[in-house]
Amino acid sequence: MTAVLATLAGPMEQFEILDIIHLDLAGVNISFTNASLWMLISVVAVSVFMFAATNRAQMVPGKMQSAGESLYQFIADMLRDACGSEGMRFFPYIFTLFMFIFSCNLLGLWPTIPGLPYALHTFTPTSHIIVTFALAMVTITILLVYGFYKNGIGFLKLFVPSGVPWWLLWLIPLIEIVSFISRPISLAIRLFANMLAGHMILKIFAGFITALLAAGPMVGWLAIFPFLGNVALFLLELLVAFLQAYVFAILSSVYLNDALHPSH
Amino acid sequence: MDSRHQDDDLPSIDEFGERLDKSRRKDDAVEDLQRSERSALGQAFRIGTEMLAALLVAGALGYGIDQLIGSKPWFMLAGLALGFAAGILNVYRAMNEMNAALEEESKDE
Repeated sequence: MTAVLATLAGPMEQFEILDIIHLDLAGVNISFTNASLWMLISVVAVSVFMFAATNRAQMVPGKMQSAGESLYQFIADMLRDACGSEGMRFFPYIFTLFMFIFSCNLLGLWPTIPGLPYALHTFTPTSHIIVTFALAMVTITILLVYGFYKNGIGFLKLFVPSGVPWWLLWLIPLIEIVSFISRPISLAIRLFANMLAGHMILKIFAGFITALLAAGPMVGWLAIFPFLGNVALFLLELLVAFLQAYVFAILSSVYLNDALHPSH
Repeated sequence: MDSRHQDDDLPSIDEFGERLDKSRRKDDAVEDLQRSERSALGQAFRIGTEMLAALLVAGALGYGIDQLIGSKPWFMLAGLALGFAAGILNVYRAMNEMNAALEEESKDE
């Protein structure tokens, strides 16, 4: 019965931030929450995976090693396409970003283990816009710092495309600046909205199943339809988990390319 | 005699190369399929958020200026117009990138 009640809880409840260890620093709440826990789990999972993949590397790779190598190759190719070989200096960052987002998305699809305390239910950190926005701001900060470091004040040419007639010089930079500020926002919204929407729909369909089953034998058999729907959605969510990590990584590298070559 | 027996058993270099090519081609086909799936869904979502983000940013900036100097609603309206322009610019650039990627791909084949 408690299981039924838990699934009938609203579709938004899964996104609630819950304290696991309450911490307070000079009036600022710095608690270790379920979001922190799942980010920590992702970091540990990625580290363990990459360690297992690179440990005892062989000429003819085993399963783990070849999985690790193909991910490495995949991101390296993507970055080289976007920024040229110069862009490989950003590889550690882009690869870390991709692996972190990918594992957060993927681990968030893990079913909650029954019987655990409520605060330990499966949680997807990337379904919170503050997490995705923070990641996007790291990219933009690297872009700004490295851009000014490498190009000096000439980096501002980013906002004045070449070949603009003089009577448009007041408008074009304004549009370019708005376009620039919108980058981290669009990065953050895209990832967060995808994860949020996917998890909500999964939960709503799961709610249909329990509601139909509880409604008695006459209509109970109809529960097979939302069940099949959920199976299909889950497959789609696996694709989305990969896709959105990939999109975040590729757009980050496209943006970082502006730091290397600021003129459009 | 012994060495000839081995030759019969093992595939020749050519045969092996052919088999390798075949299995590689199969991998490519799978990859192509995945790539087209990925990009169709990703592209659609990308265009939408590019437009939305620019409108949000410029609209919010305009609204902020209005709040500061009490000129409601003019800066917000100007901001939305600016945001629309920036959104179109974002979408235009995104499409250019996608086209470039597409051309690159067809050149590879």
